Amino acid sequence: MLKLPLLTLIRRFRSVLKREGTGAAVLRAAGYVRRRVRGLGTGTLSLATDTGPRGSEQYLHGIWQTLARQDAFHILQAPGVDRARRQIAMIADLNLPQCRKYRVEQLAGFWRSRGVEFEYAHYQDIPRATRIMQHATHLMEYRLQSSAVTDMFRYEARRLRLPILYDLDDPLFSVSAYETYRNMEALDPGLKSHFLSEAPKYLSMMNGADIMSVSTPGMAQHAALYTGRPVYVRRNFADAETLCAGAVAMLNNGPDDGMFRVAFASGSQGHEVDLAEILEPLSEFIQADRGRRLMLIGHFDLAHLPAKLKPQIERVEFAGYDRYLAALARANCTLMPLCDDAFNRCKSAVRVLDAASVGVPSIVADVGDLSSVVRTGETGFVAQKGGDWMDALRALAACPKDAAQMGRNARVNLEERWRASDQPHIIAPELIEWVET
Amino acid sequence: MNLRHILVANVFFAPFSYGGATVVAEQVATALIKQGGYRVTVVSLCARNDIAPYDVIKSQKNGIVNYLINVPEHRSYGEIYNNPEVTARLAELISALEPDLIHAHCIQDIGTGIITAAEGANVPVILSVHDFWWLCERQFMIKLDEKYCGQNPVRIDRCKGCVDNFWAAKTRFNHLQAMSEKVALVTYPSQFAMELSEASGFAKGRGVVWKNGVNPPEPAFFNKQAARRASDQRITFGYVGGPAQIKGWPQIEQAFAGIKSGKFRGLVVDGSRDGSWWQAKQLSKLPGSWEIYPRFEQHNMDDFYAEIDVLLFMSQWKETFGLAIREALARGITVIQTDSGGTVEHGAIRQEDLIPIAAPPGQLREQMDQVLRSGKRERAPYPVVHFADQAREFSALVDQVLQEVERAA
Repeated sequence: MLKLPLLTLIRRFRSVLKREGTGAAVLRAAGYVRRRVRGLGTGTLSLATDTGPRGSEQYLHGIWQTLARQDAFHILQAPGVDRARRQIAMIADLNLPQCRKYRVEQLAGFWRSRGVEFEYAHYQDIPRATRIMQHATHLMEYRLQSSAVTDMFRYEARRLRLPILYDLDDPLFSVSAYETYRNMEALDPGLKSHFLSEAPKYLSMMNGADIMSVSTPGMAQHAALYTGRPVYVRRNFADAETLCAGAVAMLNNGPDDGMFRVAFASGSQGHEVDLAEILEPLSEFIQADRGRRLMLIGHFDLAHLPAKLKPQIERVEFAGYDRYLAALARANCTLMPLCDDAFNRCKSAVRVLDAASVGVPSIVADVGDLSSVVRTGETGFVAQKGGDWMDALRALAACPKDAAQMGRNARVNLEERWRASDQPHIIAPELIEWVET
Repeated sequence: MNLRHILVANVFFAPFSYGGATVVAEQVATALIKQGGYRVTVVSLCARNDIAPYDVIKSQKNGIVNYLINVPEHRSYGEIYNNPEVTARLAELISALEPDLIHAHCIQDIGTGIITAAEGANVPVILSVHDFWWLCERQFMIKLDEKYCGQNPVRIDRCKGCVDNFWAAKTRFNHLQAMSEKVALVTYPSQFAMELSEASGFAKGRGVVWKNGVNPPEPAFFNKQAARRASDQRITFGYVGGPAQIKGWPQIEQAFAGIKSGKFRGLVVDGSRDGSWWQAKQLSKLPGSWEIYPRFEQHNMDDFYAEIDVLLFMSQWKETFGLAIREALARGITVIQTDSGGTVEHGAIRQEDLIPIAAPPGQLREQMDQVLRSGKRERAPYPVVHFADQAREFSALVDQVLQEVERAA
């Protein structure tokens, strides 16, 4: 029970009453009792009177106004000038697990390994996004589109004199890429209209940044058609998590059941069109032997496949990265056909990296960045023309032991050349220089 | 040149300045930068409900970057002196800024997390004590009945009946004492503050007296003062503070009530942030002509001091320093004051002229009468420590601490 020194308090009440009047005495007494009942401490700070909750897109407006009135708004020197240590704040759209892994978490690991602090926030977590900017030396943004909220972040970054890098791994800004993107044919036309209407919002972000990073040389070329900002490549790579998860998946792979599995993984909708590019030779190959299987991992509408093929299809729902790799490890090879269009020419080789992490060779189209990771005949095959797909499949099926060796080679290639490093084929030296000098 | 980077932690700091300790923190920081060889960054607090609790906002005023941590208006008793959320923000800042030394200057509400975070980052701390926040949960050793507590040394067991919750207060007391052992050095603005704190078991043997400075008068001040005295023959009394018992306003009121002459002027300064301390009606019954003077800052304080001839400093508790007294003395202004702790260590006033705390109003009235009778307004400026001197002394303390750290490494 609350014990109050009543006599003292009454004397104090009378003293305030006499000096400051009834209103003040009652208010102070009520404040005292409320504080005691709630177990609150007595601090020296009182709530600023000019503040009130606002909408998220105006989160910083109140403090900006106050700082401006107090002549304390501008940060006069970029924080990187007088600090030896670099600190990156990244504000990103973290909703897509694959994007988060390759463009955010992977980058965090890369920079931290170089002694650069790296914090990131989802763009809708406005307090955190705001906070991590305050003691950063650089701002990076990933996959954000222009909006009242992102404009507010940009405004704050400029107030804080942070250099800004914008990162993107799909040509979301490109009307020309979307309009010719064959995968769109498999989707609701309304979706394409939506993407087209969103494209300028990404371009606006690109043009408001100081520098841009993208995931592939093809993407860099395409971005240069739209922006005058410097564009550099930071490829996706096999991070420690991938290498470890791949090793575990290989270790836990069950005994060989004699089947020859050809995997096709799809992390998003619309890739039925890609598979359609090679469906004829692929169907012929699978159906030529009852011991062959087409393993479809992730999104795929079976209506796009011939009925005769269905008995030899294995479906694997996408349920997290580890289970995806575990399924992939059971394959003898994996296929990555891509329609040759402007959108796909921007594509990175993450699926090749995933397959290599579990020691599976890849047969890839010569589109986008896929072929840069594959050493033909050693870690997989690059199919230049239609007939190459069947040749490669037959070669692998003819000698599963050689196929397995090719998979092991792919894993070695991954560990040696495609893991996190500051080699120019992984990250452009200009990006390192931008942060570290 | 490699600048030494000092991170100053102070509950208030520009752009949100408030109180004497903040004046000292701001002015010393500015003087250190001016002196050369130092870079100063600040962390302080604000309380706003338009940004999230414990969000951080970077600001810059007068060339000094200040990271503001936004604390909720209402915090628990424990969160006032040791707040894990604040500590986390401080640790992030220290990690990002990598200061050479932390000056925990006036850290009530920031709490001891600044010491914890510094320890975690191996950054030495100089702690500066202001008021008696480290000994007393009520900060000023003023009891609920608004009387000075008077303990010397402070024994927490004797705080029963005064504190909100004795066991909570004891935990706080012990925690603050333990944290004081983790800093490299403790500074006090007066001998009185150091002796009372150390006698009470706080950071025994680790303290030094580091007297506060003031800004000297601007070159134009004495002309301005002379011009005012020429245009208005009346003696002007000045009082800086609110109408509170603890600041001695009731004694001043009673003393003036017995003064027959009405040929004088009085100025009371409303130091509140919202102008709420004074109302004209409070002053209307007093003899003489009284005015409320708005809160002033360092840059315009000469305007106020040029207006007064006598500063009345009637604090009814033993304060640790008393900035206004030194500001007045440096400007040739007569000071009538109580015998209130560290406020008397300037040596400008004879011991027998210091008015005891809780004395009846007669002694004050007598001194005021004497001033009015003599009509003497001129007084030679009294030499006091300036902020530039204080910054130089601080620089020597920093040298000492960093050399000790180097030796220990």
